[in-house]
Amino acid sequence: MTVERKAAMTSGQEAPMIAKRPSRVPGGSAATFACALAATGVAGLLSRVCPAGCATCSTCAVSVLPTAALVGSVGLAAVGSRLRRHGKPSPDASRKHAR
Amino acid sequence: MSSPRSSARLTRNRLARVGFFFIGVVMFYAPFALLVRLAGWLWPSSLAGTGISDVHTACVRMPLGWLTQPWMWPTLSDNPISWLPIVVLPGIALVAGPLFCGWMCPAGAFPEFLGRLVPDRFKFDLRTSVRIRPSRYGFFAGFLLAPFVSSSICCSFCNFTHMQNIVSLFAGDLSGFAFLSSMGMLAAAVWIVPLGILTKGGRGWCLTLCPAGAAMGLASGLGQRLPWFARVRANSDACTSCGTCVRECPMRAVEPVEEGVVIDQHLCTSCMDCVAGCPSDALRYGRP
Repeated sequence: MTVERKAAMTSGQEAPMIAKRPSRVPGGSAATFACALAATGVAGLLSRVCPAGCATCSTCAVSVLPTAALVGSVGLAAVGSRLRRHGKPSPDASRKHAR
Repeated sequence: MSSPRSSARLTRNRLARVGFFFIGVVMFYAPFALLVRLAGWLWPSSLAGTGISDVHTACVRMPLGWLTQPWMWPTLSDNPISWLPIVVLPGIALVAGPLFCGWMCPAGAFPEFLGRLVPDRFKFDLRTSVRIRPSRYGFFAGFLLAPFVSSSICCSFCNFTHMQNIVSLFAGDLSGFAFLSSMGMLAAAVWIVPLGILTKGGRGWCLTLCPAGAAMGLASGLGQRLPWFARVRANSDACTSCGTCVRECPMRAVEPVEEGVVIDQHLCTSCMDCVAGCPSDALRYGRP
């Protein structure tokens, strides 16, 4: 451990980047994975709306549907990830961030 | 805080990366597409030999989707250039990290370097709002499974195509303008704006929606513990926790911990910005 870091710890000041790290809860990763997977499945289903049967050319209005679902997957993943903010930190996270 | 020496090193590293991204444009994109032309010369009976010399012939995402579509396996075997994203790029990622993403992918570099023109106060940090790794692999799993419920979805949000249109526009091919008037513009807008220039690092699309990046990240993550493979590695004894690497990493792969920092090898693209920018030389690229 470096001199600067030791000094910061002993004086009660945490390094700013470490202080900002959020806590995590178990299950958040699984929820995020499931949300992303589900949204991608919805994107796949929506692509069937394409009258040509492909929806892969990105040149018609139909292509907006799978694209919107894919963007939604990022949003849903964010929802899944929010578990870490509202839940109880895991023992591992508590140990890592007990400062 | 960064020193003048590390700042100069970081600038040099970024200039080198810009140079390599232009090499990527010349290799993959029309009107150059040197890689496709070479493949067409080597295997004239393959797709690369059809004379269509642009990024579609050397697509780095469609062949990944074909892996889960048995009816496409003959196409895979008949087109050696299809093995680029399945074997060559993940193989390089396994041995040396996803160098293609960090050094040669123009579609990843374009929003990243464009985003450097936007002040950080207008950007959000994807890492603080999304669990990036499960999101990335969740999407990748869906990408692989989607053909079983519908057709492949890989082309409906292709940023490689949008990058091809941008390169074509600069090369004087105005047909790209027609594309910009379509609804495909939504995918381009998402790629460049919210997941590009408004994301810290500019690589939000790469982090979440790029299946090629996920495949290479998976290979990189699997190979990280093998002793003879090169990766960006942190020396916690030398780390001063200044946070420079955390700020400068385009992929948000540097995670601060109590002992210093750890590198998430599933996300790191070995771009070396953190290594170049570290004022205390606590990061290096190499074997353990």
